[in-house]
Amino acid sequence: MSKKLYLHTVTERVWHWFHAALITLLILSGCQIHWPDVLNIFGSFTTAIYVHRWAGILLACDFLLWLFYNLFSRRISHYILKLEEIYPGLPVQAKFYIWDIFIGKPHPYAPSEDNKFNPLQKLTYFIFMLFMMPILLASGILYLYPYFFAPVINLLGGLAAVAVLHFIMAIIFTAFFVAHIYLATTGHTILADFLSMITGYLEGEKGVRS
Amino acid sequence: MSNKVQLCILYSFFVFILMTFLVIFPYPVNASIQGKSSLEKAYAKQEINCLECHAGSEFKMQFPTSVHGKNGCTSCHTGVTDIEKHMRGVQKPKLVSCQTCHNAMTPRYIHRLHAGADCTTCHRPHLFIPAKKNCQQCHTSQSILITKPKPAKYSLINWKVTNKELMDKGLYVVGCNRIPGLDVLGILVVVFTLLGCIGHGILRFFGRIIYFFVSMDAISSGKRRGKDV
Repeated sequence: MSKKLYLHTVTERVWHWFHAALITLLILSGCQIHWPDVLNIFGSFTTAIYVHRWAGILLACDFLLWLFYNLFSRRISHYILKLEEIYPGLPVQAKFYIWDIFIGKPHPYAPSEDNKFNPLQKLTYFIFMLFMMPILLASGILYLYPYFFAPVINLLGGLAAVAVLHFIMAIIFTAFFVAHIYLATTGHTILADFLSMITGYLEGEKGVRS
Repeated sequence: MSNKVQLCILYSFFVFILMTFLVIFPYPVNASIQGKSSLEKAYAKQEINCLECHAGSEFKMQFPTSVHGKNGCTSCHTGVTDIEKHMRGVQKPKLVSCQTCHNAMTPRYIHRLHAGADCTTCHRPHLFIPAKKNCQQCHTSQSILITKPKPAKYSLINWKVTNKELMDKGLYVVGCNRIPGLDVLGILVVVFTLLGCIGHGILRFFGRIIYFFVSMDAISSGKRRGKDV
């Protein structure tokens, strides 16, 4: 039996693709800014700087949008792990990705309208959105207005320290970007999860939520 | 509340946040340098040509076509009124003050002119306010900014900052100062993530094929296995 599950609201979908576009621009412009002697993607170093700064500001606003939307609509609950999802949830989900998926077993925690993420997804998205993203944005904003935030920058060890922190966070997010796109193919069909992020609906999975 | 209403409210909020950013922190835009009238004000005709004693052939070639090429020497190098006293070393020119002509050198204007530069170009890292540099430190022929940055030596475990002489002078220049070892580590993290994903995908692909054949074999030999997914 196959049914359509409405998983992602319009706001979430629009937000997601806008966020994806900004992250892509930031990664590309960030690469040119970091290795200007090797890369020239945006025509000039100055253009790369402008793109990076504007996309960064928009990303900060976009993050606040995500935060307030999820808090006011209470859809933040999708990101919070329940006790049974921590144990045995996390080991079961990890075993799925490491072994069960290769032998054709169904998803142990298939999405439902009240609970669209599996335990590992919840953990990852929670850490990335509520911990990693604020650090990335904060380091970027310090870098963007160093004159204004000079006391904070001095506290952290100077502009070079902020630059290194920003670079490390950027690497983490680039790796996440790669893994995120790949893991989106682990739905019950390769394109199922991509389509659900466009239409909002996921065709019902044959797997059972254990 | 319908989705569309939610969307409208939230994107209005988003625009509000963006406008707040733009109003509180005006984004520096490249402004063209002050109008020619102030340069023309500083123009001074001279009867004696300073270049006869004071300039090498390179300066003579470069200066006339430069931004200040139409100025007389004493428009900036003021204080020499008696050429004989000057040649005896009694009268020396005063330090050049850019503000004489570029009189709107407010911090905000200076920042707009240097929009592309990193802040530690002028401000020492631990003494941001006020600026410790004057214009000459960069805008002279001895400027460190015209030295070509050395390309990074791409050894795998080089943890020294590239172009360290800039950092030693208290400068941190975006795109010029980086740690090659950290760059390599970062690239390896991303590359191994990608390879891991590709490997996982290959295993899934072959896993499905093997599982398919194993299932077929089990069915044909009369054994029942679990539900096919």
